[in-house]
Amino acid sequence: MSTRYDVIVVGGGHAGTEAAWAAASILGRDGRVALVTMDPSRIGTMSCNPAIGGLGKGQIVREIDALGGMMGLAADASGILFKVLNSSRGAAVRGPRCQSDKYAYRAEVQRLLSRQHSISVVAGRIDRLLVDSTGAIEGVLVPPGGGLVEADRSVLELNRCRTARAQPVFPPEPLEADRFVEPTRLLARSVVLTTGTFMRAIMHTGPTTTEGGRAGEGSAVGISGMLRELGFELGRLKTGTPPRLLRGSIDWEDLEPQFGDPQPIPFSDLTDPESFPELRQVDCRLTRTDPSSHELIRANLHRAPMHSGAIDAESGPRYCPSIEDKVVRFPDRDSHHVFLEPESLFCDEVYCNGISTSLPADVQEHVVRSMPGCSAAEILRWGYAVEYDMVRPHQLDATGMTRLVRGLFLAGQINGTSGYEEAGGQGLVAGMNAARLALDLPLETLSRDQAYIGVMMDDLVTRTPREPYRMFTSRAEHRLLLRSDNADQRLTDWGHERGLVDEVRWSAWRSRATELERIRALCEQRVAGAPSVAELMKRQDQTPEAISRVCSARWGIDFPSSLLDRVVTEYRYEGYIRRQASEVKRQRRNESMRIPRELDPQSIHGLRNEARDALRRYRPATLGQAGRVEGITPADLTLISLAIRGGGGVAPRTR
Amino acid sequence: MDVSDTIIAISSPPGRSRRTLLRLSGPDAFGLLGLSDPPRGCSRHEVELPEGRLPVVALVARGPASFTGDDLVELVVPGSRCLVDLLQRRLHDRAASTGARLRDAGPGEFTARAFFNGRIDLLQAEGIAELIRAETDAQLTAARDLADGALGRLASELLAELIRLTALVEAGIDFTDQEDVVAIEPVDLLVALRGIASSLDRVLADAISIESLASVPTVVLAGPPNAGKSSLFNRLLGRERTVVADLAGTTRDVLREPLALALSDGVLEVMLVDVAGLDEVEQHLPASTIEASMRRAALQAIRVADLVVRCTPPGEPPSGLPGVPDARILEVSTKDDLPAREPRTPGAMRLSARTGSGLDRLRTAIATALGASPNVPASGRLVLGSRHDSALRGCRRRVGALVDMLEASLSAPSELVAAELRSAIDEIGLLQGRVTPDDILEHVFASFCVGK
Repeated sequence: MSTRYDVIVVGGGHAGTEAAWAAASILGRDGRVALVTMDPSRIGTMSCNPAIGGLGKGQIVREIDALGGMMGLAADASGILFKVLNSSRGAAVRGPRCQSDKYAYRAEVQRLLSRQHSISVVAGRIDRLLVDSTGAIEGVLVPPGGGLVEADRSVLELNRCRTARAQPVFPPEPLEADRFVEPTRLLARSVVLTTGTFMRAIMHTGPTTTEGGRAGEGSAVGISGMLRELGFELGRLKTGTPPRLLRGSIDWEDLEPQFGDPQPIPFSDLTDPESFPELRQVDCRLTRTDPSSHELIRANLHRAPMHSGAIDAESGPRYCPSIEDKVVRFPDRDSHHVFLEPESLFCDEVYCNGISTSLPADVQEHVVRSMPGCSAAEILRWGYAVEYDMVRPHQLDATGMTRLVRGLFLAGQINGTSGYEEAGGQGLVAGMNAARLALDLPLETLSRDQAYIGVMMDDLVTRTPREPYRMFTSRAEHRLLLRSDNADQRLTDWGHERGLVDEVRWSAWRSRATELERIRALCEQRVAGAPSVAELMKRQDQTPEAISRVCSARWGIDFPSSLLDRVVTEYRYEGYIRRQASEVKRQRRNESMRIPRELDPQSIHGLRNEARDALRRYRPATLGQAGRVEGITPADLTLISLAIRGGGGVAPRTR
Repeated sequence: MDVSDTIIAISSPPGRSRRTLLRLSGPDAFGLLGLSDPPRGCSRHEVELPEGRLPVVALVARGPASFTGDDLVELVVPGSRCLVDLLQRRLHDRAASTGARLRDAGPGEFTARAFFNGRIDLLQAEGIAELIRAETDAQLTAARDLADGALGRLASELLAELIRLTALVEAGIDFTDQEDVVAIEPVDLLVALRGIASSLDRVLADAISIESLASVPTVVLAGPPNAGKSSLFNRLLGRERTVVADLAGTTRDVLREPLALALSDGVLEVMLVDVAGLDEVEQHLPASTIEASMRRAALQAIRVADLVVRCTPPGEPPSGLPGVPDARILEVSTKDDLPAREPRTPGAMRLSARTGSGLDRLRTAIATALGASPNVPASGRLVLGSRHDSALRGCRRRVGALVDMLEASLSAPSELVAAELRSAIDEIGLLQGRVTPDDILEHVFASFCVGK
C-alpha cells in the first residue's frame, strides 16, 4: 500500500513542524505534506527549558517569523514571562526571550498545523527510508499500526478558554479504523528527517539507563542504521536536562523574584499588540546551590555518566554544562545560581534552570533539598542525560539537503545543533527546499550577511562542531546588520518572493517599509538654525524619547516607537554598517562563484594534501564557503579558483 | 587571493632607473588615484599627497577591455624608488581611510587576473599554477621567518591580547544571561588598549621603515649642473651611490639616501637628497616631457627640504632657489681642489669632494643648521616590510579609534567596541592567519563558567 506526497517530514519537534509549515506554504493549496511522528499529541513539545529566544536565539525567532514561520506566533500565544535580554545594550545584541506555558505552546503549534489543510499528520515510527536505484529518496516505510490522525475540534474549542491546562490538539495514536494494517509506503521526492535526540537514544540517571529520547518516550533505532548503510558518517552527542520540582513544595515567596519586562514586546509581526500578551504573566525565582552539595557531587562523580565517561558520546555542550561539569571546572566556586521557572500557568511543575544533571537520584535529591527555599521540595521528574546519534553536518549543503541522497534533507539536532530556535531555523530552510525540489525549482540558501539562519547553515557545513552547536551573536561577523528589529527588512520580501510569506504579512511589512522611508526622509531634512533629526540621532546622548519629542514638535507626528527606534539604530551604526557592507560587497564575488560538483580535488595541481582532504570532506558549494573551511588557506583558494575557471584542473604541461 | 581587491605592484625591473612603472588593477584603481572617469590611454596627472602634488604619467585602461580585465592604471613615476615607495605608502593610507581594499600584488597575480577574467586563455595561463605555487612556498618561507622573528613574537603577543580582550567583551554580550560571567570593566579595557597602543607606537617608532625614514629631516643638494653635487652625495655617504661623470646633467633622478651624522649625544639621521641640476632642464620644454616633470620634482624636493645645501662651483653664480628662505640655505663652494682661478661665492664653505677637505665641517654645519637632536634609537629595531608595516599601522588605527571611543564615553556600546576589536584582529590576522569566531568562543568557554 502506498500514498504519494510532495514532501514528507519525519519528526514533530521544532525542526519538523517548521519544515512542514514552510513546505506547505510554498506548495500552496494543492500541496501534499505528510508530517510523520511517533506520538502526534507530543508535536511541538518543549523537551527541556520551556523558553523561546535569548541572545542570538531571539534573532533567529524573529527571522523565522519574518519568513512566515510558526515559532514567533506560538511563543506569543503561550508566553508567561517576556524579557528582552541585554536591553540596556545596543539593538544589535538585544535578544528577545520568553518563558512559555509549555502546554499552551504545544497546543498552539498543533492548532496552527491543523489549520494548514495541505499537511496530513501521520502517527508512526519510521524505521526505513526508501531510496531508489539512482540513489535518490523515494519515501519512507511506516510499519503497521501507524495511520493518519485528525485534529480534535472540541479540544481546539476548549483550549480557547485558557482557563485550564491546554490539551493536545492531535490524539496520541490513530483511531482503530485508521490504522495501517500492513507496512505502508509514503512516497515523495523530498523527505525531511528531524530525529531530534531520538536516534538510538539512551537516557541516563546515575546508573539507570532507559532507551528513549525523552522522558516516557521511545527511541528510533532503525533510522541511524539505515543512514549508516547509505554511507553517512554518524557521530554521537549528549545533552542533559535538570530535575523538575513541585511548585507547592517550594517556599516560593521567600525567594528573590525575577520579573519580565513591564511592557512585553511580541516576537511576531502578526501578533496584535492589543490582545498581547494573551496569558497571565508570572515571575520566576532565584535560588542557588549549596557548598555541601558541591562536596557531595565531587564524591559521586563516578556515578555521573555525563561525567564519568560511561556515556559513549564525544561531547556535551560547554555553554550549558551539567552541574557536575560546573563543579569540576570551577572548583573555587562554592555556589551556582539556579533559576526556578514555572513550566505552566495551570500546573505545578517548576524547571530548575542551572542544575542539568545525570547524577543518581539520591545525589539529585540532596542538591535540590540544600537549595534555599527547597528544603521540602518534591521532585516530580529526575534530571537525566541523553545520548543520541547525529549525522555529521559536513555531509549537507547549506540548503539542508544531503549530498549523498538526493531529496533527503536533515534539520535540527540530527545535525548536531541544540536549541528549539536553531532547530526551527534549519527546519524552515529544509522544508522550503524540500518543497522547491518537489516543484523542480532551484534550491536556495540564506547568506551570512542576510540572517543568523544563514550563519548557522554555513557554519554547520564548513566545520565539524565539537559540541552541540548553539547560536551566539558573536558567531555573526555581520552582527550589526543582523538585528532582531530589522528581521522583516532583511527577509520578508525574500520570503514573499519564494512563497513562504503570505499576503497579509507581506502587505503589513510593505506599509511599515513605506513608513520607515518617510521617517528617514524627514530625518534628513535640513532645518535652519537647528540640527536635522538625523544628526540628533547619531548622538549617543540623545534618548529615543527625546528624539520622539523633537519629531512631534517639528512635524506634529508621533511615529511608532518601534520604527523610530529602528531608524535611530540605523544612524548610530551607520559608519560601522557601511564598513560591513563594503566587506559584504567584497566577499560577494567569491560567494557567488560556484565550485562544480564534479571538480576532483586530485586534479587541482599544486594543492596541498590537507586542502585536498578538506575539499573532499566538506565539498564547499562556493569559493567563499571554501575559504571558511578549516584547512584551506588563501593560496589554496587561488588554485581552486583557477581550477574552476579552467573547467577542471589546471595541469602543468610537461615537456 | 581575493580577486575583488585592488592590487598594486612596481612593474618595472628592479634596480635603478630614472622612472618607475607602478601598476594598479582592480575596482578602486581609479578612485585611489583621484581619477574620476579618466580617458583611456596616456595622460598627465598629478597625485595629491600630503607631501605635495606628484606629477605622473598615467596609462589608463578600463575593464573589461584591459590586460587584467579590471580597471588598470600604469603610472610612470619620475624619480627614485623612495618616491615610489612613498607613493605606495600613501595609497595604502588612503585605501585604509576610505575603506578601499588595496594590497600588494602577489607574483603573477596580474596575469592570474587576466586569466580569471577571460582575457588570456588556458594555454597562456598554463604556467600560472606553477607561479602561484611559488607564491605559496614564498609565503611559507616568509611566514616561517616571521614566526621565528621578533615581528612574529610581537604579532602573536598582540593577537593573544586582542583575542583575550575580545573574548571578555563578547562574553559580556553573549553570556549576560549567565550567572558567572563578569564582563570586563570599560576602564580596565581602556587601560589594556592604551597599553597595546603605546607598545605599537614604540614598535612603529623604532622600526625601520620607509615611513620613518621619510620623517627624518631632508637635506637637498642643489645647484647648477655639474656643480659636483653627486660627488659630494657619494662622498658624504661614503660609497658610490650615483653615477658620477664630468658631463653636465648626469643626474636625472631625485635620489634619496639616509645619512647618519655623528653628534656629541648620539646620531642624527637625515635624508640626503640629490636632485637634477637646476638649470639643466630647459624651462621651455613642453610640460608633458619627463624632463619637465623631473624639474618639477627637483623643485618640489627643494621646496619641502629642511635644509638646502647650495653647491656652487668656482666661477658660476649661485642657482636661484625661489621660495626658499635664506635661513634654510647653506652656501657651499665646491671643487676646492681646483686652482682658484675663478671667483668663489663670498661667505661660502669651501670643500672638495675629491680630496675630502671641508667635509667634516659640512657635517657639523648641517647638524647645527638643523638644530636637531639625535633621532636614531639604540638597537632592537624591527625592519618592517610594507605589508607588515600596514598591518601594524592598521591595527594601531583601530586600537586608537577604540581608545578615542572609550575616552569619549566609558559606556560606549559594547557591540561597537567588539566591532573595532574584530577589525584590529583582522589587521593583525593578515600577519598571523585568520582568527575565526570559534577562536574567540573557545577562549570564552575556557575562561568562564557559562551556562545555567
